[in-house]
Amino acid sequence: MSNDHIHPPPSSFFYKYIWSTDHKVIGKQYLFTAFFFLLVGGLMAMLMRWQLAYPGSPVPVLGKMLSALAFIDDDGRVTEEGFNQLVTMHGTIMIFFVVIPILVGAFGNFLIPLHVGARDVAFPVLNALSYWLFLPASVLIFASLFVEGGPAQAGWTSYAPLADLTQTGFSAGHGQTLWLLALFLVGWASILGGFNFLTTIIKLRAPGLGWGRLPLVTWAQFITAVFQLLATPVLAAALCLMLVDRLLGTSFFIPEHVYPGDVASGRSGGGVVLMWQHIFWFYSHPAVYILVLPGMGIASDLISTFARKPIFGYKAMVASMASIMGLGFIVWGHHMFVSGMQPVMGKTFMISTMLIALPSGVKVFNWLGTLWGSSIRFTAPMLCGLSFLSMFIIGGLSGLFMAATPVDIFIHDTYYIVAHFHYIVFGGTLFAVFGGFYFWFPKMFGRMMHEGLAKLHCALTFVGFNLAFFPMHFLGEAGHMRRISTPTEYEWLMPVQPMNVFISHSAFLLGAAQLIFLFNFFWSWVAGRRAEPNPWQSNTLEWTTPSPIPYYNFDKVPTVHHGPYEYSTAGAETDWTPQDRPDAGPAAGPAAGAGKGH
Amino acid sequence: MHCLSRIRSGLPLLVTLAVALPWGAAEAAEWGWLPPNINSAYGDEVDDLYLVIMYLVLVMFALTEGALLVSCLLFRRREGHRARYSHGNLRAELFWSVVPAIILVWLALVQTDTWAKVRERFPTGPEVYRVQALAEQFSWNFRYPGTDGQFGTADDAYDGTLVVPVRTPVVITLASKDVIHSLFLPHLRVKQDTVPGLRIKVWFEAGRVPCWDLTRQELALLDPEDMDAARVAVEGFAFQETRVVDLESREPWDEGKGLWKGLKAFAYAPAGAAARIRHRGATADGAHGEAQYALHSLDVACAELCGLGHFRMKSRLFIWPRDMVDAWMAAKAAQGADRQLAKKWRRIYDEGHPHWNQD
Repeated sequence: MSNDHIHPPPSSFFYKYIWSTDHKVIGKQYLFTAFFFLLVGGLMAMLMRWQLAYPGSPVPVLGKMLSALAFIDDDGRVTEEGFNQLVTMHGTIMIFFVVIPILVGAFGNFLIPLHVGARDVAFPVLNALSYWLFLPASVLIFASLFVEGGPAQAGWTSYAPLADLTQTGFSAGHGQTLWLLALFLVGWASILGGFNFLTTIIKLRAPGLGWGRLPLVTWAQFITAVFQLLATPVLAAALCLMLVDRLLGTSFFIPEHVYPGDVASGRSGGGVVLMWQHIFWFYSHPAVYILVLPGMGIASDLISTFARKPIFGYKAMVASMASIMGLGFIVWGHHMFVSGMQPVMGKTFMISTMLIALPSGVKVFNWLGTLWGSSIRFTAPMLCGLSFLSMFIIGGLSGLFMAATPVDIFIHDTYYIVAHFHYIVFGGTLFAVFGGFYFWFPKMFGRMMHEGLAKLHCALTFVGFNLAFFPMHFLGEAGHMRRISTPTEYEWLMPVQPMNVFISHSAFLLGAAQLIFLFNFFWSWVAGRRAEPNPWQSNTLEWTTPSPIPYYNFDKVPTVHHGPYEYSTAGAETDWTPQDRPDAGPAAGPAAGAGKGH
Repeated sequence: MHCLSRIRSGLPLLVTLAVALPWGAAEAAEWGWLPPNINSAYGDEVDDLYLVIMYLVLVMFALTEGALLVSCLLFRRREGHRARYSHGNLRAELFWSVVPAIILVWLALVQTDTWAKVRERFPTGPEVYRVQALAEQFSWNFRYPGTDGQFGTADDAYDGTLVVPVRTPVVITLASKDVIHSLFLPHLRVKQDTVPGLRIKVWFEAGRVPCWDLTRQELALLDPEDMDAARVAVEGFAFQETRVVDLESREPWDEGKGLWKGLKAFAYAPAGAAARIRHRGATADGAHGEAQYALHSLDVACAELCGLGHFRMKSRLFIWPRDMVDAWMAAKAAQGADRQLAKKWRRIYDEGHPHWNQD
């Protein structure tokens, strides 16, 4: 890229903040939309936990205020029927409208051009279009809360035929159709984003920035983009098939002899129910890695930066992420061990699922190797990075139980799964996200977040999270099914009900702790201390720019001289070595990484 | 020495975590959280496998979280001290790649036989007790072959509860007439989805009889050979459900009884003047006070979200001695099915998929 291709920033409000093609503004658009849904999804979690702790009791304070919603009655109680809708929408919103948009839409957009030394993504208009597909999807999913019959209620997995049938009272209503449309749009937003990110990383790398010098967070985004490009179209196809099933009366997922409510389904039949699950999980298991890989990348940057030490085994870290991607496409069947799938397939998927634990394990050991012999600065971002590592270990280890087919039979669809999933996606990914905010906030908004509040938030989140989710392993061990509104209706679950109450109270603490984060975020945005260009003494290219980053990112396109994690190099004046500084000292990292950039 | 002083300064944290974390893990490893296991066919194998993985995970947990904690204590930033410049260690990386790989492959191989036993090797022969299940929103229906041993005949018995003989291999054929449900028998470690358009089988063997200890008012699992001596009431006791306390009070604990307020309180109470007690191989009438136990049933749940009324989809599992099951089935077969119920079964099994009635 030539240095003189700097366009002036748009002057009108519309082009600057609404139809913006600036990757940083688009990243923030994703971010604020996701924040809104974080509140919505979080509130739903609180409602669910209230119902599980005190079944049938009115929700204090909020209950009557929310009684216009389908899942809350006039007295402010969560209805037993509506609990399904809460579960469905909480999962859908958190996955598709919070975590993926923050990780990929916000961090991906914001960081990738900066990390490769580019002034924007390869296709800025396509990038804007991606967000403008995501926004109507957000409107649709939010509107579905208010349609007749309420939102989707078939779980975030929307298994056929429950999500496919349209008989009133026995299957999902208009909310389900809106759910399908919304996810279809989100899928396309992801595909466009993935295409854009891949092109940017492949084609727009700064001179000297070979593949071996990319920050791991960018590698993670690269591999995530491959996931998105290969897996999301499969989901989009499945969503289309289910949409035409619902709207046009076809039978892709409906076999013969289906009688909801003792009435014939009115379909020709011939469809295969399990096909939905195969297609859905072919996308959605990789989607789990879409939810965690960028978090791994962020954590890698945080740990190396604040340990002041090069990442241990850079190549192995990249290879592990690539292996996770490869294996991620052949493990989907472990979600279907009790589905009625051919048992021989169960063995195959069990082995592949066992193997996918390996690259995750290598990453954990390499993070620990990075910490060993380091000089740790316990800043708020580092505390979040360490929390990520600690929680990811627990989430990863608990996954072994699910890989074991005979054991999985019992814990399948129990709170064991809920615990495992949340240890990966909340305990893992969200800690990385929080750490990422504390770390890159100066670049995003030109100010520092309040360190004390950030540490308080991290500590309370760590405690609240573990108190809320670790005991869920016990519930799962007791056989406590997820997605049931009233556990006290089951005789064998009665003894564990006090644990449900304990978990709910811990969840309320966890929810309250997030208010500290939101306050800190918005307060710091307005009144935080002004940030210097490189407050963390970090190496990657974004720290060579002013804070906040100007419209054109780099005054002059940088030339990269070494890897991103050259900390504590022998003979160097400082313990960090920015990537664009030629004098890296005598031990300036592997020359192998210095492949050609563009 | 410096390292030692650093460790010493972080000792309170280390000790707290060293106690708290293994406590949680040990709690999980305790069988107290698992419901009692009465599947004598493969239940122990499944639970043992769970335990093997648990121990393995505990070791890994201790190693990795321990290394994390020690690193945090040892390598805190000190003025004038730089981190060790290193990009890695190939030997270490090979070690922690190869060793876990061997363990994981071993773990995968060691469980294949149990999986085959659970899902592939179904018992056959005349001693097998066969049941058909038909799931619908939001109830379980079960059909029994009656005295002729054939399904789809006038001799069939129908009921909403699952009644099986103790110490007998039981094969259940599952089908659904609307959406996916999931038959979950927690005490037998059985869980299997029922899928429209598919016939899926599960099997188990219940090794003990669920009873209610009338003195302690709690579940007791009796070996069938002990039932006579244990004086089990088979009739004449009613299972009562009562709400303990008004939910509105929101007072969580009823301290005196150790019960969760708002729960249904389960207890047996005499329904009549006398209870029929199974005693020394024969039934004998006796006063209810003579019975030590009453026959009880276990939960049958649906583990898959199956619609707005999913929470209503429950049933009960009765495990009885064979003679009682035969007598019950004969009585049920004599009752037959009402028209509506029979139509459901015809649509899915007898006319929809007649071959599902065969083995």
